[in-house]
Amino acid sequence: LRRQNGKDARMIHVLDELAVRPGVLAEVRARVRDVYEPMVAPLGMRLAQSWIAPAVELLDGPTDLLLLWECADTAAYWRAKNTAARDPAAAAFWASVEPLLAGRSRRIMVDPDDESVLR
Amino acid sequence: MIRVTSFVHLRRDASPQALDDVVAIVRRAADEIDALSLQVAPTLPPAHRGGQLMILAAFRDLDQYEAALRHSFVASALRPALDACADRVETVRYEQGAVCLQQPDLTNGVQRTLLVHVHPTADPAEVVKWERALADMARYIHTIRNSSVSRVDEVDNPSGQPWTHVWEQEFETLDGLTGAYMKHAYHWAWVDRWFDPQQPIHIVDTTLVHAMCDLDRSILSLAG
Repeated sequence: LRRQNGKDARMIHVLDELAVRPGVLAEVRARVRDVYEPMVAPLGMRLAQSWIAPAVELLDGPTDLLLLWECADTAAYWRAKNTAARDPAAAAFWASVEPLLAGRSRRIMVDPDDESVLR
Repeated sequence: MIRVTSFVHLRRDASPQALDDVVAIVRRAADEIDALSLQVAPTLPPAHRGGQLMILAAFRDLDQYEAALRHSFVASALRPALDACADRVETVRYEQGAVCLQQPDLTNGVQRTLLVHVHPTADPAEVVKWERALADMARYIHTIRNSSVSRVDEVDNPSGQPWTHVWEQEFETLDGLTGAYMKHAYHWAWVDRWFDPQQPIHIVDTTLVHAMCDLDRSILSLAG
């Protein structure tokens, strides 16, 4: 399997796209860093990368905060997802950031050349 | 076609023989009452909230089902047998939804039933998208030989919130369910989004019944 950006491409990637309301980007990032990241790390879900788009926090409209998480493989993804799904703390985290967001989505992604993924 | 699926939860103090006794009586009931199909088998691991026994029934219509309920064998033998050993019998009745048949002549297979509760606040259009995505699983996951999504009409003794949907699949082997079905990306990367409370589009309650049992012959094909 080829490598992407020097990393093992045989990973399940989860992309959270958070449309953050004006003025609260730092607060959302802090909650992700202080609450969510330590919560999912023991489940095998690691924050690989984050971005903002556009590349500046907008004053009058939402700024997208993109969080790219990675899990080792399909089994690891199921474990992390099922454990978090049963954890009231995960639900509480999302409920706490909900008022700070204009919307959000979560995409589950793989390398199209990763033949370890059954599809 | 009217379907009735029951999950028998035995009492803790039920005798080891109780399971076999109920199986034998349900099999006798299949000869006594008028039904399109009446099959019974122990719930297989790794079931979740599925009890110890699954009873799968199919009736031509509501009249045939209600006649079966009134049948003397049900009153004199089947109900007493269940009352004697069961803590709870969880039952759903539903009109069979559209079926997808890849192998209508399937015999000696495995039947899997998933009971779910869709949140009443869910957008009806989203519910339809989810139902369609479930039904489409058979187009991607070829170990699903036959399948159907149905909306529940009646629930007795639900272990969670009242079930709204039944998602049934028939497999050749249990491995088709625990292997390809669980590992396929269409499942975990697409359909599962509606089940995952961390997803903004989730509509399905996390409490569900996930149960499977041996299947003598395809029951879904009766609706085909």
